[in-house]
Amino acid sequence: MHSNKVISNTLLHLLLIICGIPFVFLFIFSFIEIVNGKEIFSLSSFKELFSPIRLTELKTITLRAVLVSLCATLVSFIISYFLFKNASKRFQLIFLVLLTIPLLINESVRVFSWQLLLAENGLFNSMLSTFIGNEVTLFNGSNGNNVIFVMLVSIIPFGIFINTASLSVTPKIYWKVSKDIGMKPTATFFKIVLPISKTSIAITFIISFFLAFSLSSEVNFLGGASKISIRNLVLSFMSSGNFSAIFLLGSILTLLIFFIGISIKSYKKS
Amino acid sequence: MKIVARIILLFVLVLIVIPIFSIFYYSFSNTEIDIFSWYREIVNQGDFLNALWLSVKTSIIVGIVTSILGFIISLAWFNKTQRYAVIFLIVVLGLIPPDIIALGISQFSQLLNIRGSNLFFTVIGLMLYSLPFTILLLWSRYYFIDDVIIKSAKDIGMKNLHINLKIIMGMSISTLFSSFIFNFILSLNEYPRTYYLSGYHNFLSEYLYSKLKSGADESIYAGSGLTILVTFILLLLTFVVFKYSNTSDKKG
Repeated sequence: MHSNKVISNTLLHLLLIICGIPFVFLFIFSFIEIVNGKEIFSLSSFKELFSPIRLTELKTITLRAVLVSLCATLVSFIISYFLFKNASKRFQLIFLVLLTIPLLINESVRVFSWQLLLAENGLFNSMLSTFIGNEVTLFNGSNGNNVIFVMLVSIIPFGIFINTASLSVTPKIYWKVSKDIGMKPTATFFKIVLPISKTSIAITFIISFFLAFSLSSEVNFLGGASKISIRNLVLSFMSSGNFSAIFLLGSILTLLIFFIGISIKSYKKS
Repeated sequence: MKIVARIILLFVLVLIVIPIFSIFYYSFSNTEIDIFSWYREIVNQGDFLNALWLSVKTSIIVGIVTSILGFIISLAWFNKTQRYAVIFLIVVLGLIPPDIIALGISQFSQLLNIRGSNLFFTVIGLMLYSLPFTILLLWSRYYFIDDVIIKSAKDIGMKNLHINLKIIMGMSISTLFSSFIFNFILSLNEYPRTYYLSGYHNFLSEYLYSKLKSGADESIYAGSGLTILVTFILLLLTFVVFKYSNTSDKKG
């Protein structure tokens, strides 16, 4: 374990504080309202953010994020396991490198590419129709399948990175022992792989949740009539002049991340 | 079982990667006579070139500043307590919705009331976006730097500044270059932060978003194709440099 300090605490903390300034201001702006050009302390942000309409919107965004993150965690873990157990190191590297391409492509270009493929008369529905023999329109803008599907495709790579990295650093003795005692692949997966990977699975779920919570272009391009996303919520608050409610939401999310971080650290210590 | 698993892996790869190139295909499929006509059209559009040029200039600045700042912060890797503090910064910067962070920075800029500061704060926003990636990329390099090297340097009386510049930077210069290219790609393609922070300036990502959303001008397929091509080439360059740095380290 590296323990040599090569940067002074003062310099590091100064830089971290500078980088953390936006979050400090998120917190301060949560309690400031501008009336007649003057900034006054106010708790109106709570009233605005927790109004029934906003709560319904937040509930939709949160539930969608939970659904997407659950599916992304499950799928990414299975793919990572397949990759780790069945692919050579070279294939693993190529696979992971190729997975980064969509993550770096322009957000709107990426989503628009999916829009072309998932349109009612797009490639995916055509392929499904050919396969089933009847005309199918599983993917279309009105039922939200498109949004969920593209969100999943956008988030799964992150889960694959985390879980593959976690499986790669697992001591080889686990695999050797399971082989020596003659465990079958299914038993190895449930009795060894899952228990030793629970931290990485939990981290994948948390990261996937926050990423899914933030994704907005997917909803704006593919959401059809229902366009409830964090960006539209922010724009809606902006148009009504309730900036403090946006910053309150940001502060709550920051505190939530801080709380989860401390919980994971305490759990690992114990 | 292995064959089934490999088929599943290939299917996943195709599903995730190939759709990106569909728009690339569409950009050539407008007419059978001149497959480059949309490319000619987009290159002749002043707005597109202006947006591209502004984004390239800004991304170069972001790339340089973030690489330097990221290098300094990434040095926390060598101390466990410092590393935890940086991990927290990475998590927060990476997980808070970009729309909210960008609006926070925008509000802060208005509070300071600096005239014509849009580009400055756009750089700040993009820098905070790419900083976590720079640190993680550098940490993936530091993972292979043996602790004994740092200890030995300290034993012979080298100061921290010299250790950082001569040993750590010396051993990770290729990774630092990779992180610069990576930052450049991230900044070039970032939409939410430029949308909230750039003011009247029109960046490439804003230009693409508005054109693709409206769907009125089909030559934007060519614009999208160009950005995919640029990103792909730069990404390839990043991995070549990164691979070279790891190989040369193993040989050393």
